[in-house]
Amino acid sequence: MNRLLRVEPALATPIWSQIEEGMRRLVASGALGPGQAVPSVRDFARELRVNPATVSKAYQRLTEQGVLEVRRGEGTFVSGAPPALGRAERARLVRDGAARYASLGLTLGASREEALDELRAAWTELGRRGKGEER
Amino acid sequence: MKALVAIAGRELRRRWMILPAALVVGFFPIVAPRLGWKAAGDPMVGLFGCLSLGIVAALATGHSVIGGELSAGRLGFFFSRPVPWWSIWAGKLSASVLLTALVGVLAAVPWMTARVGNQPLSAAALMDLPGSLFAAGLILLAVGLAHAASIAHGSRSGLVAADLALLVAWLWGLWAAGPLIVFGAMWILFLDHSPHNYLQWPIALALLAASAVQVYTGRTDARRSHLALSATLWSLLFAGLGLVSAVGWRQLQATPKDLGDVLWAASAPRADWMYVVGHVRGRIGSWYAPVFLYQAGSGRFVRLGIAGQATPPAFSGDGQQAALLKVEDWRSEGWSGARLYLADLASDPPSLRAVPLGIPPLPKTEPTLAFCPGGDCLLLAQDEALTLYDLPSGKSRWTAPSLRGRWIEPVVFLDRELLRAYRRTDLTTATIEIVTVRLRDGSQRPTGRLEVQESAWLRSSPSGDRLLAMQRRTPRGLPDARPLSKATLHDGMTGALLGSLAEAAMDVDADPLADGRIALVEIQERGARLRVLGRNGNEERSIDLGPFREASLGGELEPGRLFLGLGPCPMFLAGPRGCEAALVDVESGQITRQPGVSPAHPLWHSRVGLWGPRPAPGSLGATLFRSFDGQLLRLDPKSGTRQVLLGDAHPQ
Amino acid sequence: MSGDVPHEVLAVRDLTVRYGRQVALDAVSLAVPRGAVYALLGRNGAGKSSLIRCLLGQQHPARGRLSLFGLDPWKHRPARMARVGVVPETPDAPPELSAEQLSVLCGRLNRQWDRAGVAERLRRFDVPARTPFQRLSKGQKGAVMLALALGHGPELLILDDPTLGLDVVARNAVFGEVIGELADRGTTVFVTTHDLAGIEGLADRVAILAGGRVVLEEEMEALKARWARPLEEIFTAVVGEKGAA
Repeated sequence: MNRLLRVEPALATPIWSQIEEGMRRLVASGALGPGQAVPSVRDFARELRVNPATVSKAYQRLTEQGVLEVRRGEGTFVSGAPPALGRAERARLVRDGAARYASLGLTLGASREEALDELRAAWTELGRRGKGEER
Repeated sequence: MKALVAIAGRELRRRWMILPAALVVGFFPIVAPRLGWKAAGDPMVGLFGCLSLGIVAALATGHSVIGGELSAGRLGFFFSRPVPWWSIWAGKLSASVLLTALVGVLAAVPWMTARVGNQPLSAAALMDLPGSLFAAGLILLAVGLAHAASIAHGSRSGLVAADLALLVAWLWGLWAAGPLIVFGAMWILFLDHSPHNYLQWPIALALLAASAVQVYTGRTDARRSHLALSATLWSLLFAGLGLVSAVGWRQLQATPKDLGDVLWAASAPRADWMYVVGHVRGRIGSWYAPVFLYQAGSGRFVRLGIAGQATPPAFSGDGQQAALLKVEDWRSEGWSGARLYLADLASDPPSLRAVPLGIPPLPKTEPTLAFCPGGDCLLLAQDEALTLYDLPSGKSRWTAPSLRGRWIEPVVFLDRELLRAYRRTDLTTATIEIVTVRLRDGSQRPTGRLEVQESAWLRSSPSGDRLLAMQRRTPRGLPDARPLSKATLHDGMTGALLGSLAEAAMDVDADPLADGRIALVEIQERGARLRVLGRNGNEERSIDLGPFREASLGGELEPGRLFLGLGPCPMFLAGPRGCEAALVDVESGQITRQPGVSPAHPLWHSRVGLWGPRPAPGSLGATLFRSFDGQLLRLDPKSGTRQVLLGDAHPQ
Repeated sequence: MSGDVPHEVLAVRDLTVRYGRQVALDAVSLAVPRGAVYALLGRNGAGKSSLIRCLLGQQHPARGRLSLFGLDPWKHRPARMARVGVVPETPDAPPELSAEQLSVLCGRLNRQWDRAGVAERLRRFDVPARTPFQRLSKGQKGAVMLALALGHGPELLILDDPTLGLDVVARNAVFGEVIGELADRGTTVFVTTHDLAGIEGLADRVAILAGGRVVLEEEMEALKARWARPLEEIFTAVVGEKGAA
């Protein structure tokens, strides 16, 4: 797992947020397949050398969002199905992400066309990976 | 408790190797001779090994258990765990003490029980309770000292200098307080013997207490530990020293009224000052016998010291002065440090002052002091020499050595200028030389001599004109022969025999009376008689005393009234059985029994068996008596009634 | 202490420690909530050791109040140490005893002792059980001290510079063990350290001690959000401003 996800304590971004984003990226890119087991909070914390509470918080959020699911007695796994989020919830999350991307683009002085091109390319790339092609 | 045992166990296991070493030392005096080293089979070798190894064990373990761990920063291991401070303290120190004790036992028992050497030291001497207590105290002391030194050294602070200074100060205080400590300790511990076997205990306990405070307060900090240890230790030691000294001082503040029983008393010739020796009532009474000058009427007194440290005082003729010698140390080889003290009894309060003597008295024999009739000089009479000192300066005027013989009692002042002294010319012959000595310059003039048996003693009339000689002779060649006594009368100046007063008696005692007559007690087979003889030995009166085998003259209370001891009335002071005392009126021959008393003046000084002079008839001293249970009494010569002056009645 | 918050495992109020004229700690106050990982940072001589000694009831402060699970550690040291595991800066175990013997000894010094757990930890750390303590390597000694500190299941772990002088492997092992404790038992951790990078991921509260005073005390997340810099830089900036102790 260490090879797949790294956290940088020195960054300003909270570690739980880094873990959450990282896990999310791995699931989205298919590196972590549906139904695949993820490390326990304890083991993951030891690997990353971070406070288990931090890992726990990230897992908590991912579970709430349906990215991970906890099977009692068995462990934590990547959800089999896409997150069963309500329409409103999904819409809010996507809008948040869009707003962050737009803000980034605008402050860098990119044009809308440039931003949309990049977005399309990244979506395709990740989607292709998610379908199980070799990296 | 579990933690304490665990901590102690670890310390013991850490140093277990010293135990086999102790066994080796213990068996060495047994095994070494068999291997050819004969000299090793000596109990001294074994003792040396045992003591050395014991000291090493005490020092090494006492040093390292707490102090060593503290300075190495390892005490925190225990303080970081749920272990109470006293488990740490007691666990470690008890291991040190136990280990030292085991080492001592293992290094001693083998050769002791195998009876190595000619004079085996009895193991029982160390295993019984007093011996074990003594050894235990030493072990605690050694461990405590090692621990304290370790803490003091390990803190690396300047406090060590203060510790050393305080140590010196305390030791000096101990030495300076001296007898105060002895008396204080005896009183506190209810001892009836010297406490020096126990002195290690208070110090050991102070060290232990200080170490406990140190562990509780200082914990893992070396400097605070040192401070806590030193503050506690010195507080305890100085407070203890002060307390024991104060108790001892309090004991030494005894007054004559505190005497529970009186040993001796004697009085000044023409005053009512007396000197008294007795035991103080209370805990250390039987050990503590102070000496006082005491005036019964007013209760005024002067402290003269402790019995055995001073000679009985001599009084001047007018009773206004007394003189005595205080001795620092008395041993069989002689004494040391005699100082003359003069008491001025006329002043209020009466005072005592030291007077340096021009020539110190000779160390071998007991001196007797006597004032000259004028009160301006002091005679010091010893077997080997007579010395006259000027008063009040103490300068020696002259000294008269006895050469090859010795001066004997009595010494008689004839007048203000001359004295008469008697000298055995040498120790083998039975010749006594009579010498007149001029007080002014010490020049001697022999005036006569007399021949006596080897065993003889002399009594002089007060004016010196008559001399009584009591002699005793054991017939040779006859087994079971009883010694024969006789009394003879001589001219005081020439020694010429004037008459035989008694012959072939079983025992005889004679005293000159105030009016010049002679009282003589004679024991024959049929009993005792009191005979009153005239100035020239002619018998004037004979009074039958009864079927007694022993009798002694006890002085003339007032002219014509004699005190007699009948039967075995001893020189010692316990109440005897079979001793009867009586007052005899010389004129009427009337005998009045006076049971339970004996004359109070010392018949001899505690060290030397010299007969002392009797108190003058009619003086207070002649009427001082001691009951057998130790009360000082004044016996009225006429009525025989008794007045208790000092001491308590003890039921017999 | 009045106003004691029950969830504060460790609280220090106005702590002042003096050595003669020198002031080692000057009115220091801090509090460690239950379950937190609290890192105390400071240069050598900043007063960390004095604070630890006062916390462990081994030193009495000149002024101030300490509270360990609600009680004064100086007065109630044995009772408090039953709930605290201590890993000192310098390993202080009896040098002649082996790790196994030390476990037995500690078993007698504590009311409860998980001998099997300790043995398991030692095995995990690759520490030989029968070698005398003084002959172990620095890393192995540290491991033994940590194992002994955890053997009685403490609620609070106090670590004084636990990774000082250790190589990377040993450091990771120590932190891994601590993290395991955190995950399994929710142990509260109070750690002083120089290893800023190492503690950065672990601590959720940080305090910086400089010149005997607390010059910063904050949630790690908030601190990082405010400064947007690595902890090392934040530390240098803060301590550098106030001057070295």
